[in-house]
Amino acid sequence: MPSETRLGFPNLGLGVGLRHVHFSHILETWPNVDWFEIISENFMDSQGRPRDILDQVAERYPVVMHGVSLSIGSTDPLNHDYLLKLKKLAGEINAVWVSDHVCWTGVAGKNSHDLLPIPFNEESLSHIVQRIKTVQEVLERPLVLENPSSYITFQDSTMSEWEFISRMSEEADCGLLLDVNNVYVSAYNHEFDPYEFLQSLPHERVVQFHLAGHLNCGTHCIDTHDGRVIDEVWALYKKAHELTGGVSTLLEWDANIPSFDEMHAEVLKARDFLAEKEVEELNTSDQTATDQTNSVPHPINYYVGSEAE
Amino acid sequence: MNEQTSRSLQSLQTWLQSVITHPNGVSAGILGAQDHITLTPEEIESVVPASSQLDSISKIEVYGNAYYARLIECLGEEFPAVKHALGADTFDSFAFSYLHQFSSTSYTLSDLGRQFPSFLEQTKPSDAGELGWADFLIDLARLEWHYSEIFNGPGTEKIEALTSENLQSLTPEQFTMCRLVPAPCLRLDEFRFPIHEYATAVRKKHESPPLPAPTLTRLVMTRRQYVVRRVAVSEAEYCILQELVNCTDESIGSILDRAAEHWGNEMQEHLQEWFERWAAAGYFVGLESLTR
Ligand SMILES: [Fe+2]
Repeated sequence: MPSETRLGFPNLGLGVGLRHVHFSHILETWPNVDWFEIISENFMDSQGRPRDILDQVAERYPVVMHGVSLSIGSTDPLNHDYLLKLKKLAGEINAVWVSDHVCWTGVAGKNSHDLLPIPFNEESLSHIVQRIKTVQEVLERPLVLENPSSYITFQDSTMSEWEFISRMSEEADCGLLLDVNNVYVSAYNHEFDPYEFLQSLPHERVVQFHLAGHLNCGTHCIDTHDGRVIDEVWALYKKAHELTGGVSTLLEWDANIPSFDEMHAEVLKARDFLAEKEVEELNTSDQTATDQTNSVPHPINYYVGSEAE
Repeated sequence: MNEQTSRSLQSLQTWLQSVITHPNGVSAGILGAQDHITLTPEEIESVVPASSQLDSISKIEVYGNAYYARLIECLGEEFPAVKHALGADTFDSFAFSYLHQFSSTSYTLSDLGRQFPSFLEQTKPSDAGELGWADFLIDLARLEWHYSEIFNGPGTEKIEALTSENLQSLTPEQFTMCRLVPAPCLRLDEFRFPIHEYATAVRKKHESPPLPAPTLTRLVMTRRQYVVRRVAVSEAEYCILQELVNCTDESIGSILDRAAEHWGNEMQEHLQEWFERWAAAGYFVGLESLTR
C-alpha cells in the first residue's frame, strides 16, 4: 500500500476515526483496518480508559493526531501549554503526523469549540503563516492543515480559499489535509466550482484526504459527519486521487455512528470507486433535511462523561 | 471579494464570536456587537455576503445555532443523570443559561462542566425552604462531576496498591512514624441524598427512579481498572478515612488513637474489616515516613 511520501509522510491506506463507541469492539477483535485517526483533545489530558485504549491501539496500528483546538487563525496568542501537550502525546503514541484546521475557534480567551472561518486576505495569510511556522518549531514536525466546511464568507476576503490555502502551505512549508466533503459543502454554500478548488492546490503537499457525509438543506449544506459519503463527493475523491497520485484516506463519522464494520466498509468503498466498480447501495442524492433547525455541524467528535459502577 | 478593508482580523473575529454566541440570536448579536463593527442587521452584507440561495443572517445562524446546540449536548453527556432528572427541555434551558454565564475558556470540552454544580447552587430559588428538588439536583451534579474527574484523572492501574497483608503487617514503628498515601483517584464527599443510587439507576440500568428521600450519604469514590467505583459508608468509617487522607503530617497511629476516643466501640469492632475493604478497593498506594 505505501507508495510515495509527502513531506516524508507515507500513504497509510484507508483508515477510520477512533471513536469511543467502538472501543470495546476494537479491543475484542483488533479489526483489519489500515490506520486510525484520533481527535487529539479527547486523549491529551486523559489518564484513564481512553488513554489506555489509545496506547493499545498505537501499539498495533499507525495513528494520526487530528486536533480541533489549535485555533491557528485566531488573533489570540498561541497556547503553548496546549502545544506542549500535543507534542508530548505525539511522541508517546508515535503519531505519524499531527493535523488541525485552517480556522480559528475563539478569541479573547474564549473557545467556541467550532471551526470558524477566516477571511482570505494578505493580513490573515501572513498571520497564519507566521503561526504555522511557530507551531512547527515547537512540535518539531510539519503541521498538516485541513480545509474546513464553511457557511459564510467575508467581504474582507481578497482571494479564493484555494489560493489562500495554496499560498499558506507553500509559504509556511506545511502539509494539507484535503477534506473532499468539505470542498463539496463549501462549494455548495459559496457557489464555486469544487473541481477548480481541487485543481488549484499544490498536490504534492496533500498528505491526507477526509471523507464524510453531510446534510443538504436545499439552500445550503451542513457538514454533519452523520452518514454515508454521497456520490458527488466520491467523484471529487476520485479526481483528488488522480491529481495527487493517492494519499492516506480517512472516513469521519461523528454522529449517529454505526457499527465499526459498517463504518469501515464505507471507507473501503474508496477502492471500488477508484477501480470504477459498481458499488452497492450507491447514494444517488444527499440526505435530505427534514428539520433544518436541528442540524448541527459536527466537525468535532468529543468524548466527555464517564463510566461508573 | 473586495479590496482589503481597514477592518482588522481581530475586530472581525471578536465581532463574529460575539454575534454567534449572543443568547438572543444573530440579529440581536449584530446590534450588541457595535463596539467591534458598527453595523445594523440590514447592513450585514457589507461584512458577510449572501449567496443566491441564503441570506447573510441565515448563514451566520448556522454557526449561532451550532454554538449552543453543540455545547448543550456536551453538557448533557457530562451530566446524564441530572439531565434525566430535569427532563431534556429543562436541562437544556439550564445548560443554555450556564453557557451564557460560563463560556468555555479551555481547549478541551472536558472542562466545560466544571462550574455547573456551583451554577445550579447559585440559581437555586432563594425561597426554597427545607431540603428538596433543587438540593437533590445540586448534589447529583456534584457527583457526576466527581465521576468525570475520577474517570479522566490519574489512577492506580499501573501502580501497586497496598494489599491487605501490607496493612495487617504494619509494624508499631510504621504506625507511629508513617502515613498512608491515598490513591490519586480516591475522593470522599458527603451528600444530602442517596444520589449514587439514582445515578446508577439512570446511567447503568436506564431506569427512571423516583426522587429519593433525603438521607445523609457519605461516599467513597475511586477508580479500579478504569471504572469509577463508589460505595456508601458509615459516618465513623467516612470520618476516619477522611482523617487518614487529609492529615498529611500525622501518623496512622496518632490518627487512629484520636479516632478511638471519638468512635470507641464502633471502631474497635470494624477497624479490621475496614482495613481489609480499603485494601481490596485499593484506597492506599503506599506508606510515607513522616521524617520532620
Ligand atoms: Fe474533516
